[in-house]
Amino acid sequence: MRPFAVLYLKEFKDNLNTVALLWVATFAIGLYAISQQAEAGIWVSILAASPYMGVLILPFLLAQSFASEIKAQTNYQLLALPIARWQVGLSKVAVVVTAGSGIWLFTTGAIHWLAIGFDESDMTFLQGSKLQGIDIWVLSGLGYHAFALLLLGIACVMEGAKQYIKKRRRLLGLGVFIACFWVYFKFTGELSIDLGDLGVYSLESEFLHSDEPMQAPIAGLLYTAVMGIGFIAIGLGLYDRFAEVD
Amino acid sequence: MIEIENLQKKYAGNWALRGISLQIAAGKVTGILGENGSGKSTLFKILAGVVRPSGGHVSIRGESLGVNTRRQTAYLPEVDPFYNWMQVGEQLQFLASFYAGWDWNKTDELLQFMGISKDVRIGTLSKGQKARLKVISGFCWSNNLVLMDEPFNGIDPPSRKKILQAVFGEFRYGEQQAIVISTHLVSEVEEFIDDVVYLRDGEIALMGSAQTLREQRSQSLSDIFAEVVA
Repeated sequence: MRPFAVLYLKEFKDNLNTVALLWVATFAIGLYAISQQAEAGIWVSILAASPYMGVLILPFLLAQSFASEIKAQTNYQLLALPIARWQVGLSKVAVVVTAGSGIWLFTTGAIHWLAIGFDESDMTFLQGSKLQGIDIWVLSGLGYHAFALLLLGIACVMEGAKQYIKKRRRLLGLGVFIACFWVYFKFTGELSIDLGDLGVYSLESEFLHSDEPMQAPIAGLLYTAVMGIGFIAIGLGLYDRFAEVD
Repeated sequence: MIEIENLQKKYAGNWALRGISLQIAAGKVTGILGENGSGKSTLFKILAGVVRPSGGHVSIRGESLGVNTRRQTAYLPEVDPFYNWMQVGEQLQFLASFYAGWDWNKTDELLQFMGISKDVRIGTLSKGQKARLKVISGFCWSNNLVLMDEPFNGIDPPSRKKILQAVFGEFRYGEQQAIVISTHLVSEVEEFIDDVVYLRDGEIALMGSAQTLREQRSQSLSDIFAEVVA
């Protein structure tokens, strides 16, 4: 088996309890929302969509994954392995993305199920939109994963910076967090114009009672994803160069 | 085999190594002896590639420290570096995925010799058993260099002798394998050490062939340790 696959499997097993808990909780919320559809109306949609907020947990999962290696002193073993260290970091990112994708999958599945139910009962879904089918999957998938990549990228830069500068780690983490968002927002306008040529995702459904087809900001989502991947690359680069045991 | 030139390491304003230079020969057992804080563990960490030096240069078989040197080095740190949730066999399989020349027959022999089962969860092992597992992980693949940093902490004295004889004897890989060992139990490893380096406050206090030093000073390595280092 290739080293990265071995690291990924190790990392997945290491975080199995947390991942399983998140998936089971998401699945349970989805099931509960579906079971309450007839009585609760629109509020079940909000309940079903609430696990999307789990994306905010992902950077903490990643930080915890790095920290637990230091606490358990298993980083002595990991850093002595004959591989580039960025692979160690990337395996952690990949497992957290897997955990997040599972949350997205179960949540979107529940929402899709609810949308079908609303359609059959002539009830509205998401305040009047007829958003359904593949559109639900494409838009939620793009939005959720773009935001997840951005947050994980920032977490990676924070981790890499902590390896580079070993003093005042909390203050450093806060500084990096603010700096990353500053960079993200600074270039949003400029790059969005260039990315604008990529167009938008037009839906053949009405949204918010508008006669115009909904136009999803694909360029903005792609920009967010690209920035996230860039931050991940920077963070893993720092980790690769400066990671060491205490 | 290992060339160390003016090696320095500074931690938060304190010098752990103050510019040491030495050579470690292939096929020999080199003892790095010194009190706590003398820089022994730092030297091992740098050789293993898990800590970056602040200055100087190290090469192992002509290569600067990096992935290639880690590929030929077994590092047995003073801490327990294993995943407690893994079974012994799973942990060894994990390591075997990264190191070429892993010998599963030898692994089984070593496990049997050490009295450890593959199916046991590492978290349930005693400190002594974990120390034995560290020794197993360093001697069941064909590396050129074994770095043993206080490897016998937690192992009872009668077993230590038996394990030392085995790993420096029948379980050693080839004539070219270099073993570098640090321990405060100098008297126990004395008979196995070919070359010795005494460290004091991050500097080399004395080094040379163990046999020559014994003859020149008419003392055991333990007595020299007490005189030179303590």
